[in-house]
Amino acid sequence: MFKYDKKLQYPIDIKNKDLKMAKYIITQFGGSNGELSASLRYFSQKFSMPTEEGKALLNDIATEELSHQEMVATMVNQLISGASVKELENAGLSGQYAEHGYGLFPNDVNGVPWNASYIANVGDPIANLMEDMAAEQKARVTYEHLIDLAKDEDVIQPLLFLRQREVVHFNRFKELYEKYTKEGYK
Amino acid sequence: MLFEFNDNDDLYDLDLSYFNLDKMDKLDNNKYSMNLKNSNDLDLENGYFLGNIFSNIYDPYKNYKPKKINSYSEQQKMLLKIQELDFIENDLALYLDIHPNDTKVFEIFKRVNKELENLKKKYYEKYEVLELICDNKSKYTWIDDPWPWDGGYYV
Ligand SMILES: [Fe+2]
Repeated sequence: MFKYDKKLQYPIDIKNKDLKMAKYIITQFGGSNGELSASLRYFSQKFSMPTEEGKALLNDIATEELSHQEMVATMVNQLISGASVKELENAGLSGQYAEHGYGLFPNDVNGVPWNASYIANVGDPIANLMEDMAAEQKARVTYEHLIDLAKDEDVIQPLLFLRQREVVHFNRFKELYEKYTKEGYK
Repeated sequence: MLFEFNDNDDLYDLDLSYFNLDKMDKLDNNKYSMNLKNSNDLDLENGYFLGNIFSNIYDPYKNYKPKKINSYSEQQKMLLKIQELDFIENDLALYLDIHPNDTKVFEIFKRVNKELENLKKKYYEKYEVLELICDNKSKYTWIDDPWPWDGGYYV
């Protein structure tokens, strides 16, 4: 089961509205390399992990990714806070407004809704861990692109934090992958 | 500004040799902090702000410098320490998940956990509840603003 902690994993306090940045960052909320994809990928895979280590790691990273989903949503929400309809229109967010108003919806930077085909689970620990390592790398790179696009320290700092978490997750998946290969899982 | 270095932040200084563990057992502390420094390149001091307490796998991006977070009020300082300890506990857990026999790191994990529980208890006695199960105030306060996504650094 899950219980909620009334705090973010890392504080977010963005004071300046930036609609373009909101439009880019939403992709980590509902895009293929985003946090929802990450969380559901590992959550789904944990059930077929063959050892205690694998069950624990997939479970715990899935849980952490969900708290990243909350951080990303918080960033987008604060970046659009106080924006007028006209401003949304000028930033290319009129479609987003027409469909969702000021509500958050998991879609990517082009407005394509989140899709379960972004995740994979073939029920095999080696193939799944290889998938997870690639997913972490793709998420890391996406955060790097977002950092390149950002100018405000209030935005850059949480993005750096989230990027570094992908680095950690990649390394843990890699260690488990190597362990399983040594132990003869195919 | 939220993101600035603040050198005067010694109120809840999270020095785990650092983590004011001295309150728990003074005698063991020296031995312990020595272990800490040699233990798997752990950077408990800066790990939270770097997003990674394991220096051996830390990977910076370009010339970007992660900064320590400023906190203004007593409440902010305490909440930030809770977030920091919680983060460290989680990062240690991911490591322990696949290295469950690393007793040195497990010892650190237990101490971080104990420190975190103590601090959380102090926090909700003094300020607000962070977990529903701890709402034993005179009225139901779980619903009270601010919620974590509200910004304004929660306070
Ligand atoms: Fe991740």
